[in-house]
Amino acid sequence: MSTDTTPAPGETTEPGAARDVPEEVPRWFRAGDETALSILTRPIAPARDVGVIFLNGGHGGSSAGKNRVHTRMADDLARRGFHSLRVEWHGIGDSTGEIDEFVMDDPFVDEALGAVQVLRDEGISRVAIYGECFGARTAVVCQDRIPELCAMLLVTLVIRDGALSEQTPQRVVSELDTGDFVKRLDRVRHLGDPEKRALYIRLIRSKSKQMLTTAKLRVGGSKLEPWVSPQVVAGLDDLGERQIPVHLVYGTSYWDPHTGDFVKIRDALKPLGHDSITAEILDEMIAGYRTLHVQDRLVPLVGEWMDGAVPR
Amino acid sequence: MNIRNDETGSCRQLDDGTTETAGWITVDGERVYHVTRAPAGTVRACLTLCPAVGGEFDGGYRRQTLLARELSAFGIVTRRIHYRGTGNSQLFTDAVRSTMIADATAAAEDLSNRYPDAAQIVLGERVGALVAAEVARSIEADHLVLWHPVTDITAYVRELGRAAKLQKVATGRDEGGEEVAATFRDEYDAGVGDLVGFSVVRSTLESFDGHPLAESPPVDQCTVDLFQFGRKSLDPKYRKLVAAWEGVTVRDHLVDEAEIWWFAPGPWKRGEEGRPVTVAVLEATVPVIDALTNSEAA
Repeated sequence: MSTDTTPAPGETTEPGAARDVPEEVPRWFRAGDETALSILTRPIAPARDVGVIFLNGGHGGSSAGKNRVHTRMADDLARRGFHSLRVEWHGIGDSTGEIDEFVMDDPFVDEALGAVQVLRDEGISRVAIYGECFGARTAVVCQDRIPELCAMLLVTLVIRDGALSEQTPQRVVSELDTGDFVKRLDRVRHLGDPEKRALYIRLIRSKSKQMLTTAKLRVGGSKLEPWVSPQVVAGLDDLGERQIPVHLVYGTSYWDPHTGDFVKIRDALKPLGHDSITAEILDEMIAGYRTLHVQDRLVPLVGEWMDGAVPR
Repeated sequence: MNIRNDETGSCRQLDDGTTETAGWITVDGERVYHVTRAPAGTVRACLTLCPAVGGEFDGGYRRQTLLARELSAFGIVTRRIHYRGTGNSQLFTDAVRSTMIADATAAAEDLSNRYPDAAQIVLGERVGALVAAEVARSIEADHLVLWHPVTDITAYVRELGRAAKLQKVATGRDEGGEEVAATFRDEYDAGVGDLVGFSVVRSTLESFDGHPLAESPPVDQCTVDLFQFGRKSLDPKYRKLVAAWEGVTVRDHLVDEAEIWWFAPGPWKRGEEGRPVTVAVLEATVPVIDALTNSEAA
């Protein structure tokens, strides 16, 4: 049963009408060389002593999340007794610094660990993470530096390394066998164009790396695909060893190829053998919160899952 | 740099004394989120920024942060807000014209009280222009700055309907453009349209019905600087606006780079600092605002 109590956008209430709202306070904090802005939400229901950190994907806007979906999630969590902290990455919203591109294997660990410290300063002793896309990868990478971690809900955890713009060329490379790949090198054109040349070099390097990695994996007896990030494997395995509840959520749409990656490697991904790690695929365009419907579905899903994963 | 936190907000002070404060203003007992950037020395002017709504609010957010940071170097305080019902502000209220004007007016009046000798500027982006013009009248602002203003809400709703057809490209929805556009219209008629995952709230937009920008002319000596994005000549709707505001000093500024508004990308391909439209708009706007307040100081 859904217990979402937050209003959907467009649900009207008279201004000033009495309705409990959780206390919220902005918090600047240091993150490496940068200063990040976040919003701390305090619970309305009796506090569980658990703070949920929101780690964003690559969309812009503010700590409210796309279409304020994270504000709604924070409100729902507050009604269930959770603190929460919604973070603006450096180069986003009001945080300092600049972003060129979100590179999956170069996650923003400083911001994640800085956010944990904000919760510690608030006197909270347990930490959960809600991570989306790039935020999910960051969560997996920094988990071993958060001793008070108690749960992790990861939406669209990207399995491959590299920048998002490199993911499609990577897929092309991995889907061609070596013979086809070599044959297609005949079709290489426009070598005078520096951008094209750089792309071809990246593709050849990527293919070579995949061939080497495949050989190593097979020697070690693994059936895993060569493009699976070692960060994802190691991070999930460690979370499983620590018996921390982890839930992976993927969506469906051709815009969202990460689900396809996950489905391909699900059976070979050893960490999924841990009982504490679960996964589900929703028939929704989840990546990037592309519809209002998926936002309405995720708000209670996050609260309900945290409710079950982190007992009072 | 120092950070000061308390129960009302959080302030970071840079080594040069500039401060950036995130906190709340209370309007009708509800929270309005603001971030205010203040220079270290003498404050020449205060600028209250009335943002757009929906995808245009999210898409333009970082640009506004960058504007505030640039203006502080010229002795200008900039305050940016989230209307109630949007962003980090009060959750249980729909943003409508009256609440949006109340929120921005409260933000501007608070600045005016803090810096009584400073010139008052109001900047409105897109639908925010319809708010900004009213706020400028109510606080008797010295200057009104408009970023590609919406001049009439009915035309804006039609524009959103056309944008809905492009959702197939933008979102990977399986249906064709016409079907998606029809779904959008049905959802909007029922209360909330879905445009690439942003809410297009009918009550918000309909609250501007009958209040075109032309009917909110600035008062007294308030001057207007209108920035149009992505065209080489002034759009006829803006010509009409200038004609309707006869007697008011309106300067137009043409920014070559176009914005894609509801489809503005996240920063996953390139930081906002490097987006051509953002670079162009800031390069055009900052000197104009600096000149406005410089001439006053002289």
